[in-house]
Amino acid sequence: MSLLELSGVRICYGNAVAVKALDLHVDEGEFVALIGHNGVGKSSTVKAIAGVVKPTSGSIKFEGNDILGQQPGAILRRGIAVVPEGRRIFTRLTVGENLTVGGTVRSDRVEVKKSSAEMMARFPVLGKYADRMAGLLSGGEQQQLAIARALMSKPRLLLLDEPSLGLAPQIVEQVFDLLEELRKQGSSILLVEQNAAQAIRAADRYYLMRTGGVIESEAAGGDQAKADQVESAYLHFGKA
Amino acid sequence: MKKSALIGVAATAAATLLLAACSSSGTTTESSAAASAAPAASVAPAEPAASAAAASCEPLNIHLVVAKTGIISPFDVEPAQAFEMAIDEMNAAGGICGQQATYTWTDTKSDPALTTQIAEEAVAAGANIIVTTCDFDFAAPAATVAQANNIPALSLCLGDRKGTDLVTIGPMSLSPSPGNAFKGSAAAEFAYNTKGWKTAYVLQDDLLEYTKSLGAYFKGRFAELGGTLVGEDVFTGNEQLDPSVNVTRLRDAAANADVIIIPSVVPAATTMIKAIRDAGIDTPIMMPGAAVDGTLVTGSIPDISDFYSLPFACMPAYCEGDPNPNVKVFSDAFTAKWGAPPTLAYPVLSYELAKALGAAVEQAQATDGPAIINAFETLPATDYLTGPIKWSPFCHHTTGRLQRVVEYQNGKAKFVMLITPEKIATIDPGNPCETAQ
Amino acid sequence: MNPQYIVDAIGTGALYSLMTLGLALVFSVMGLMNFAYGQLVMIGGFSIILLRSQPWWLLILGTILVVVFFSLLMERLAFRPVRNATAMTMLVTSFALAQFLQQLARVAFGANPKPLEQFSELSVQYEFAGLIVSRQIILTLVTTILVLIGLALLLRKTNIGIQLRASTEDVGMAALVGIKSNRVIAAAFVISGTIAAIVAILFFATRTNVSWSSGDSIVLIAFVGAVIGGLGSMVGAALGGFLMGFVYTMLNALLPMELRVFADAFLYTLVIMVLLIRPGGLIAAKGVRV
Repeated sequence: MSLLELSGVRICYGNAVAVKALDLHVDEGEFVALIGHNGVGKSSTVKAIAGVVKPTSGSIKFEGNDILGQQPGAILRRGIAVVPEGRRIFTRLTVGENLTVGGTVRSDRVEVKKSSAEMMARFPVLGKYADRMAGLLSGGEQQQLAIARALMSKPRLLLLDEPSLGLAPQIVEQVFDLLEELRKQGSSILLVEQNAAQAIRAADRYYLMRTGGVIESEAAGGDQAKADQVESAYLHFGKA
Repeated sequence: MKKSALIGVAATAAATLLLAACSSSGTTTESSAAASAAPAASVAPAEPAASAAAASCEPLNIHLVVAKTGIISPFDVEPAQAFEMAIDEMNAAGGICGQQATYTWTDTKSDPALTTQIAEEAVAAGANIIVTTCDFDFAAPAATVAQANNIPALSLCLGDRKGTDLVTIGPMSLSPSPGNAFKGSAAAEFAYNTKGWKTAYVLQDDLLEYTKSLGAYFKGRFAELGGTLVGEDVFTGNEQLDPSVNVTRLRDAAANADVIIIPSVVPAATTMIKAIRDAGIDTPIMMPGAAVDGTLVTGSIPDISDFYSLPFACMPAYCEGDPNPNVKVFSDAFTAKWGAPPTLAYPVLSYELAKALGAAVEQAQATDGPAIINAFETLPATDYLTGPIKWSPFCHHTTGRLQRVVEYQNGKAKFVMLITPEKIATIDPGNPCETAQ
Repeated sequence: MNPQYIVDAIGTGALYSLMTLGLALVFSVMGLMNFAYGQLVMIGGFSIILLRSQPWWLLILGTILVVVFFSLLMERLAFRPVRNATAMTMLVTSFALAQFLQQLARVAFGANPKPLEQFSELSVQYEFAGLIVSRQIILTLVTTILVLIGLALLLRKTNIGIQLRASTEDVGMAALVGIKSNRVIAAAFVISGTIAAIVAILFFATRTNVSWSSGDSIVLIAFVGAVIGGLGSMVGAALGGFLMGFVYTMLNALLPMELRVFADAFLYTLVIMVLLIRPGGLIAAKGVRV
């Protein structure tokens, strides 16, 4: 049984179809990338999984349970945490408070405090700036905070929407290093990215999406040649 | 989601409008019970209705363009009820000029624009009498409409001369109040002659023309008598009133003043008086009129002392000792009809006004506007309830009224004396009522 | 100048500051300018009349309970259904609600102001170095400072406070981290209602009556105070409200008599000038939509 399984998911906004029919799955401990251009329905897919938008039809199952149509809070409690596009950290909360808020769904306050300390150890920059307003962090630091905040809920699956967007290349490297590290520690990850080459390199498997559906799905972990090939073909598509 | 939300808003708004737009109306048929409890004071000239059946008498169609809500409503509601009570009594006794009068009361919400609109609707509905609010500022919009249509604009009790000088609004506007020239002058004479207060501090409320002219006439007459004004201050008696600064300013001056004069209205005035007493200033305080009086004063400052006001009657609900037994009879009849006694003295004015209206129509044997106004001007001095009053062709306030002086001690109001000023202060050449007494 | 005026102005400023905090809190949480807030104070006034004969602690507790009840009812029945609607819809809802509550009070208590027998306990006056300070002023000042500190602690140190602030900034993201916005917003209305009840007690302590229209001027002061303070900022709101009261009183104290009746006009001219120079208010919060 897959950890996350989407089948025949269709998402419409009024009369506009954002996603036609999407099949996708993520297995336990797997790092899956969903790549594709801007506007092909990647973000809608993330929102549907997170419970922010409700698909018109299809099914979304998490650990075998149907989660389609549930509220974001309920889905998070089941174990799917989101690192949203644009990071959306709470800029007027301190770094420490952002982490605390990330642990909202956990009932044991003492444990949350402990996790917060762990996160600060794991991301030294967050420890260093624990009492600083999160809005004062740099883009890369904010991305680390967004990921750490999501990890605070102890998720079974981490859902990342364009984490490299707007970051300098070196910082993007750091983010991908971090994701690989998380995978090594056994996290399940679904990464949504425009940055195809890097995503394919890092992921165990990838889905390539074009206007509303998946056109290609392959295992690609660490395969540099494959990544370059998809990247160039994909870029070519994009420019056409 | 959005749609249902909007519907929710619309429903709430509609409910609010419905609640706010209600108006009452009444005719004789529903009031026979109350009429049987009519006071012995129904002394309206007894030219009996039976004899009158003149062809030019039409039924009075009275529209009360008067507030049930808003800032002026404390001065409108009971007077309007007293007015209706008087009409009911006359209807029960055979009608006015042989005809049954009808009345409709629409809430102006103390809103001038709405007042104009309601007055215009009243004209369109065939009103031949328009009753306006107890205060000039709030009555003027309706009185202007009535004047333009040659319909008498009878104010329940306005006191500023602009409503009665035959010029500002016009000759159709009239009030049963003796006017602020009379009250301010009477208050000054009581202060100087009766109490021997030679120095005064005037704490003026600039909220209304009423409060301003009241203060002006007090000062005018007090100066004529030889009194000294040791200090003056001003405030605006609305709900936002913060009395602290006025009290601070007064604190230094209080020692030099025999009396503090506060020409104001409830409820702001009670807040000011309380602040003055809380500050430990026990100088006597006087309101040179009737608008700071009644249960709102005794109810909110239960230990009020050394406070004086000049109402039109000493109402049993809060005041003891009115020399005229008619006042108690009136209060009892009002209580029987409306379920609660009058809480201030204004209702006697509008009751007298309605009775005088009946007398004027009987005298004129006509119901056209100018004929009714002409009759008001020429009615002989008559005691409708609290003492003889009359109007004149050049002043549409009443003259000859026996104003009461009431003294509050330890939270109790007591009748002190009847007063009619020896002389009205001459401060305003535009006020024909200065010389009407 | 008589230094007593400063005491008077501080007293008024502190009260206005407290009024403003209650309104600003709800605005900062849900972007709602709740024009029915003044009616909560009015309801508090009527509760005081009804509870006047009770011991003081019961009067305070009872008033807070009544006002909080109405505040929550307001949130549940009027504002929750329109929470995702436009700001304009919420604004219109709050106006309609204010009207509705006024009419309700008028039906329940009549058109005339209801006399309010005073708490003589609060009008006790003390003298310090020639300055006269009433117990009401001391209590208002202390309460305002305590409420400000309490709000700061609540917003900084408690989970609900951090969740409140998170919701203020990004309601969508707050939902994604599992914050229950219903609970958080209800909490804001509880706090706002509590402040409104305290304002009612301190405000009506210097009045002699309560009427169905008593809330109108209060909400206007609080609104303008919140705007010049900087919408969305608690410290800004407290400062804005304080300045409204302080400056208004000083204008009344210092203007010559002929101009004194125009103190309002001077005050609002100053407000406009502040907003021209600092359109976001004195302490502007980021990311506020109006």
